[in-house]
This record gives sequence, C-alpha cells and structure tokens, in this order.
Amino acid sequence: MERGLNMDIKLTTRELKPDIHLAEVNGEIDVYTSPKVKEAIVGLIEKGHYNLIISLEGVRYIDSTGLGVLIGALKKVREHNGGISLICTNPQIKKIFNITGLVKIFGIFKNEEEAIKNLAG
Amino acid sequence: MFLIKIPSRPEFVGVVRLVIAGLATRLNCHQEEIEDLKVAVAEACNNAILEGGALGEVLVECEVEENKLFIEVIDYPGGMHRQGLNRRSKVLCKERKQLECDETWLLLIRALMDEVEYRIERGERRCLTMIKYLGRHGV
Repeated sequence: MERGLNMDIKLTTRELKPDIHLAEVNGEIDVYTSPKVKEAIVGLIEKGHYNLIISLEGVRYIDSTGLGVLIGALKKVREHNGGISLICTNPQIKKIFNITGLVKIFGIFKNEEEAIKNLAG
Repeated sequence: MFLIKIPSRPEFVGVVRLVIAGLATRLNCHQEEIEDLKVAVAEACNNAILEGGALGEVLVECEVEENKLFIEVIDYPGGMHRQGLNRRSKVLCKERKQLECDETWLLLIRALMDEVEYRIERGERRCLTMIKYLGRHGV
C-alpha cells in the first residue's frame, strides 16, 4: 500500500480543433496542487497552443493560488493574441470567480460548444 | 475549544479543510456554509505557510459561542524560534509571487466570513481571527 501524500489533481489535454485545446482538470486546486496545474497549462502554451478551454467540471475546490495560475495563463496567451474560456457549472467554484471579479475577465461557460464559440468569435 | 496543529507545509492545508468540513457538519452548517468555511480557513493557512516559511507550525483554533463560530489561524513567521528564512521558505515566497495570488486570499476571506481581523502580535506571532454567524440558512 502506497503511503505517500496524495496529490489530488489530474489534468488531461486534447485537441478540440486545430487551434483550440481542451485541458480538463479533476480534483482540488489548492496551494499544494496548483504548481502541478500551472506546469501542465504552461506546457500547453509553450507548445504554441494559445487558445485554451479549461474545464473545471471535475474540480471540487479552488483557492486563490489556483486562480493565480489561471490569471497567469491568461496573461501568457493574450501576449500571443490567444484566449482562455472556462467551463464551470459548480456554483461554489463560480462563487469564487464572482467574489474575485474574475468572472468578468474569463469567459465562463456551461459546455464545450459555448466555450469554443467564444474563442472562435 | 477545538485545536488543529499542522506543519507549515502546503500539503497539509487539505487536512485542515477536511477537519473544518467535519466540524461544520457537526454544527449542522448548511452545505454552502461548509464550503465557505473550507475556503476561508484554507486561505488563512495558505497565507500563514506562504508568508511564514516552512520552519514552524500553523495553529487553527475553533470555538463556538452562542451562534458564532470563532476561528483563529496563528503562525510564527520563520518558526517559533526565528532564525531567518530558510531555503524552503524562500522557494515558497517565490512560488507565491509567480502565482500572482497576493491579496486575493484576504478578499475571499472577507467575502466569505462575517467578521475578520488580521493582526501581528508581539514576537511576530500573526493571528487571523474570523467569525461566522451560524444558522443563517433556512431562516
């Protein structure tokens, strides 16, 4: 039985369209796991993927360090005229975006179709 | 009085969240209140760990008085026997800067809790006191 500390985060990526990539995050984005999320998202950007959809549908918890990762990623893709759309329907996660005002900075959508439409538009 | 003590390291903030959720459930808090408490207490712990360094411990004290839940998050920057920041704490501060989360943590706490006070006490003990009024949901 493994007794190491459990890093409760998983991130998978796939191409939705030639110029749009999806990153699906599952787990809790907190002070411990956010460096891992940052590494994965920055990895995508460094490969030249500047239009990203980040799905937070599998995220049970996010804190200010997680928000910081998303803001940092948004700044990076905007330097290349790219953008980030978020998929999120969890009311508690959306509440965090509302409190911090980030709901006005990120596009937050219910599903992939809406998120793609926003990036394409 | 309910006391949680964790090493000043990021991997233990999740443990505090679990304990706070358990306590709030025992106090019959509404699910939204439980989630708010988890975020607020974890943000206070994050700050204690990221600003304080990895030498010490973070204490979380909880107390219920009438319809109020008092939570204090206390830390000693550099540990109780301060000898300057060690390498680990410098790394954490750098990470925090990179993560660009400065001040967002306090904004969240103020929004989610009913009363908040942050003070640095003699001996550089830092203490964040939060109060949540209980039983507001469903009234």
